[in-house]
Amino acid sequence: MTLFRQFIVRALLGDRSRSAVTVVGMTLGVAVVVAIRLANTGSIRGFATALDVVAGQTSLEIVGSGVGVPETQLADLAWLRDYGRVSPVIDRTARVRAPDGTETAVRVLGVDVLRDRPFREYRLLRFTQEGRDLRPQEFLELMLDTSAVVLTEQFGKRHGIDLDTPVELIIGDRVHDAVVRGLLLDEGPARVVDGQLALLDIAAAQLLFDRLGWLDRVELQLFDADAVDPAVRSTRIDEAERAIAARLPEGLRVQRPAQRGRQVEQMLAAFHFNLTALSYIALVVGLFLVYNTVAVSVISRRSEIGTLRALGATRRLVRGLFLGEAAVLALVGAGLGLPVGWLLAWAAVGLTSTTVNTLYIATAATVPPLGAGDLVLACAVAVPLALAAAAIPANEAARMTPVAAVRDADRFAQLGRLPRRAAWLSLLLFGSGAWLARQDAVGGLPIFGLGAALAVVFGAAALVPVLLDLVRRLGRVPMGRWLRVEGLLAHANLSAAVSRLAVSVAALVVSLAMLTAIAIMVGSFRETVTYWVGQTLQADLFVATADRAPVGPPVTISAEAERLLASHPDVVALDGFRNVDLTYGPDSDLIILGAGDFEVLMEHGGLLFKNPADGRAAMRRAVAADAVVVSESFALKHDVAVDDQIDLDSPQGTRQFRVTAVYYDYSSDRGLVVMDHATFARYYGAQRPSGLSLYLEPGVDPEVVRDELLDVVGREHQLFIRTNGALRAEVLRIFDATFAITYALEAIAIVVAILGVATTLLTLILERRQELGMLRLVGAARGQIRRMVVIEAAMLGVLSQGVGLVVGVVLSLILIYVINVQSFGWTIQYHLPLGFLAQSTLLIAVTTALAGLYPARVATRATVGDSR
Amino acid sequence: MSTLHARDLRKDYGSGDSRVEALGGVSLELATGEFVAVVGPSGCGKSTLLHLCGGMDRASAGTVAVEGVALADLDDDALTRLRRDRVGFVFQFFNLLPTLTLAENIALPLLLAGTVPADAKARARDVAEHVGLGHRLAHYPAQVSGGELQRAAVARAVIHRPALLIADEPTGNLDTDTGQHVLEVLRALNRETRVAVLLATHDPIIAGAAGRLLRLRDGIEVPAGDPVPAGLGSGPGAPSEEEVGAGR
Repeated sequence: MTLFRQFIVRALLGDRSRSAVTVVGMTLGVAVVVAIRLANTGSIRGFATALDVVAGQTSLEIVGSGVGVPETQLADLAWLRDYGRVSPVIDRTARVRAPDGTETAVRVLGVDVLRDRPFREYRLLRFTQEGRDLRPQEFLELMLDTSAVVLTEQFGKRHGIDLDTPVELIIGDRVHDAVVRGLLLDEGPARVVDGQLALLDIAAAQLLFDRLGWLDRVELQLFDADAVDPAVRSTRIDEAERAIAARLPEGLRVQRPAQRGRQVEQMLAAFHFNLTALSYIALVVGLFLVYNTVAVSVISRRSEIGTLRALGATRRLVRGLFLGEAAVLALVGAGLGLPVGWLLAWAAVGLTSTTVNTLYIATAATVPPLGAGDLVLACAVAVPLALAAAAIPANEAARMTPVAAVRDADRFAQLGRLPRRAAWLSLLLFGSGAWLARQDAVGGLPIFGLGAALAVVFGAAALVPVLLDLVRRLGRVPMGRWLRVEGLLAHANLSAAVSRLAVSVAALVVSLAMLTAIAIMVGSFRETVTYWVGQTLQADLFVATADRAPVGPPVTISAEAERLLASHPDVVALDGFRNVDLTYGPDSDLIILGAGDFEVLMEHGGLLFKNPADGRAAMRRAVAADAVVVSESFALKHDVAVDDQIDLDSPQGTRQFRVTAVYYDYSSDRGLVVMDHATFARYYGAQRPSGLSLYLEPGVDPEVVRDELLDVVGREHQLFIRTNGALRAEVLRIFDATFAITYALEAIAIVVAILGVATTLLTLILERRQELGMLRLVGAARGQIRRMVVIEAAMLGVLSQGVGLVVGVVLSLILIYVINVQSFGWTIQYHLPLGFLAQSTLLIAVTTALAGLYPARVATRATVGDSR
Repeated sequence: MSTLHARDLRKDYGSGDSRVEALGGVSLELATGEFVAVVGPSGCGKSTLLHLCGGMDRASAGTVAVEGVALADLDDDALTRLRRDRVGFVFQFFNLLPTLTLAENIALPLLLAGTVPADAKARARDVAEHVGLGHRLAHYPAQVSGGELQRAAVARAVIHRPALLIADEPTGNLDTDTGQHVLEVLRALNRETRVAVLLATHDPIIAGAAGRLLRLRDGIEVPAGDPVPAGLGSGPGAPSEEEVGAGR
C-alpha cells in the first residue's frame, strides 16, 4: 500500500493533465450510464408509484378486453363477494379549468363511495379541520349531485380553489360545469399524483365519460388481505387469483394491479434497452482512456519497473500496482460520475419525455434520488471494466524482466508483432460479428444484434494499429511532398509512436464509427418516416382532443362534435379512428386495437402496404368480415403473416380473426391490429372515436376550413384541428425529439475521445522534449514546430474519421437491419445522409487539429537547452 | 561456502543466424567479503555477467549459485525473493524511482520484503547517515546531485544486509571526484559488513580498488599477462598491470 502510494499515486498526481483527462473520461462514461438508468427508472417510476398508491388496498382487479367490464356482468359476479370486498371503478383522465383560467390534466377516479372506502383513504380537509373523519353517509350526500367533484387540497391551493368553487371539467372535447364539494388532504393517492386527482361518483363519471353501462375495472380486496407476513399474503392472493380466473366468464380477466405496471415496463423495454446500450458507448470510450493511461505509464516507466523487479518486487506486485492504478482512476471516475450523472439525468428526462409521453405513457417523469445502490452499480460497472481494460498493459508490466531496468532494447522489438496480432484479432472479431448478426432476438431484445455491433466496434479498434502501421509505411513520401518538412516530421513522429497512439486513435474511431452509424440510421429512418407520412397522411384535416393518452382508455370525441364537423359544406368524407389497448399473446403484450372506416380509407388512401402488394383488395375483403390488417411491428414481434389467424380477446370471449394484410406503420412499436369499424362495433360495442380524419372538397383552403370548423364547434367542444401540413411537421418534430438524446450521448463520447487524442499527443511531446530541443537547435522555427504538431493531430483525426466512416456504414447496417428490426419491428429504407457525413468529416478534421493546439504550444516551449 | 559460485556461464541473444554470443563460458568465485572488479571494453560481456550473477537474467548454459543456492533451480518468485533478500544492486544510471523520496528509495528493498514502514524508514535513516545523505532524506531524486543519487543507490543496495553487492559501472556517470567518493563508500561497506562486491568498470582507478580483477574480452576471460583489455585503455598511455596494482 505504501509502495502503491509512492509509486502510482504520486505519479498520477505528477502527470496531472493525463490523469485529469482520464478521470474526466471515466466520469462522463459513468455519468452517462447512471443518467440513462435514472431517466429510465424515472419514466416508469412516476407511473408505477401512482399505480401503487391509487391501487391502495386492492389485491386483485377484474378487467375486460379492451373496452372494459360491462356493468350487466356485475350481477353475475356476485360470487366475488365470497372472496372479499368489491368496488367498481372508472379510472380516466380529464382536464380541469380553474377560475384562474389554467387548464390542468387530472386523474379522475369514479367510485362508489360506500363500497370504495375500505380500498383507499379519503380524508377531507373540512372534516379534519373539525377534528373528525367524515361519515360514509356524509360523503355520499356530498357526491350525490352529478355536478359534484372532489379535488385535492394541494390542487386547490395552487389554483385558488375553495369549497363550492365552480370549475369546468373538460372530458374529450366536451366541457362540463362542476362544483368543488370537497378537498382531499395532501396524503395517499392525492399526494402521489402531485395533487392532480379528481374524485367523482361512479354514476356521474359514467355519464361524463360516455361510459354508461361500462366499468373500467372491478377491484377486489381479499378478506384476509391484511395477513402480516407478506409471503403468506402473496400466496393467498395467488390462490384467489387462480380460483377467480377459473370462474370468470369469457371476456374478463383477473390480474394484480401491478400487472399494469409490468405491461408498461415491457412496452418500454426495447426503448430503454437501446438507450442503455447507447449510454455504454461513452463508458467504453472512457475505458479506452484508462487502458491508454495505464499503457503509457507502463511503457514510459519500463526502467522503473525493471528496477523494482531487480530489487525484489514480484510479478504479482507489479501487476497489482498497475491494476491498482486503473482501479483508482475508475473509482474516482465513478465517485464523480454519480453526481454528474444525476444532473445529466435531468437533461436526459427532458430529452426523452417527448418520446415517452407521445409513444408510451403520459407521466410526469422525475429523476429518482441517488441511492447507495447507484454507487454500488457505478463501482460494480466501472471498476471491473477498468481492471479488464488495464489487464493487458498490467500483464505486460509484470512480464518485464529486471534487465529492462538497464536495457531499452525490447521496446523496439515489440513494434513488429503488434500489427500482425491485431490484424488477426480484428479478423476474428469481424467474423464473429457477422455470425452474431444472423441470430434471433432474445425475449424481444436485440442481445445478439448488440453483440454483433460490439464485435464490429472492437474489430475496428483492433484494426487501428494495422492501419497506423500502413500509414507508417506508405505515408512518408506523400506527407513530405504535400506538407513539406513539417509533414515529413509529423509522419516520422507518428511512425515512431504507432503502439502508443493505437489506443487513443481506436477510441476515437469507435466513437466516430458510432456517430456515422447513428447518423445513417436516423437519416434513413427520417427519410422512411417522411415518405410514409406522405403516403399515409392523406386527409386534409385531423381532429383530436387536447388530451392524448398513448396508453389507457382513449379520450373520445362526442357525437355532437362529429355532427357539427360533418355538417360543414366543404367536408366530403369523415373517418373516425377508434382505438383500445388489448393484451395479446402468451406474454400479455400491450397492443393497440384500432378501428376505422375501411371504405373511406380505401377511397382516400391511407395505408402503405408491405404485403400483399395489392393491399386495397385485401382490405376490401376485410370490410365487415372477421378479418384485420396488422402493422409490420405487430407481424414481426408476434410472428404473424398474411392469412394467419390471430386470437383477440373481446367482451364476448376470445375470437379468431384472419390477417389479410400487413402495412407499414411507424407511429408505435407496440403493434397495431386494425379492423373495419363495423367489425369492431360487432365485437367491442359502439365506441366514440378518439380521432377524426376529414376529407375536403378539392381546391378549398384547409386553413380556412379549419378556422371555420373551430368557430362552428365553438367553446363547448375543446378540439385540436390540425391541417395535413401541420400534422406532418408535428410527426417530424416528435421524431427529431426522439433522437435528440441519441446525438447528445454520442457527442459526449466524441468529446471524451478527442480529449484522449489530445492527451496522448501531449504525453508524446513531453517525452520528446530533447528531440524537439534538437530540432530547434538545427534551425526549426517555433511556427514550424507548431505546424508539425497540428499536422500530427489532424492526421490522426482524418485517419480516425476515414476508418470511422467505413466501420460506421457496417454498423449502420447492423443497426437498421438487425437491432432496429428486433427491437421495434420497423423496416427502414437505407439512405446515406451524405451532406451530414461530409460536414462531420470536416468538423472532426478541424476539431482534432484544434485539439493539437495545446500540445503544440507545449512543444514550442521546448528550447535549445532541452537538447542535451 | 563461497558467496558466489559461477561455472562456465554462457549467454546468447537471438537465435539462428542472428544469434549473438554475449558470454562464452566464464567461471568465477567470490568468497565472503571479497571485492572483485570485472574490467574490459564496451560490449565485452561485463554487464551480462553481472546480470547473471545477480539473478536478474538467466544463463543460456552454465550454473550460478548464491550462498550455495543454484539460481537455475528457482522459479521466478523464488528468484525474486533471493534478489530481494540476498543481493544488492547499484546501476550506472542510479535507477532511483522518481516518485519516491531518497528515504523511500533507500527503504524500498525492506518495504518490498514486508518490513513495517516505520522500521524500514528508521533503518533507511541510519544507512543514509552512513553514506552521508542524512540531510537529503526528504528530497526527490530530481532535486539532488549525481553523487548523492549514487550514494542513495548504494545505501538502497545494502540496507537489507545482502551477501552479494552487484555494481554495474557505479561511477560511470559521475565526475572523477564524486566517483572516488562513491568508491570509498563502497569500500568501507565491503570492509565493515563483509558483503562480497562484484563491480564492473572502465575506470582503472576504480578497478584498482578491487582485491582481484576479472578481465573480459568478447565474452571470455582474458588471462593475466595478455594484452590489457581496451576498456582499461588499449592506446598509448594505458596503465600497465603494475600501475593498476599500484592504485590499490
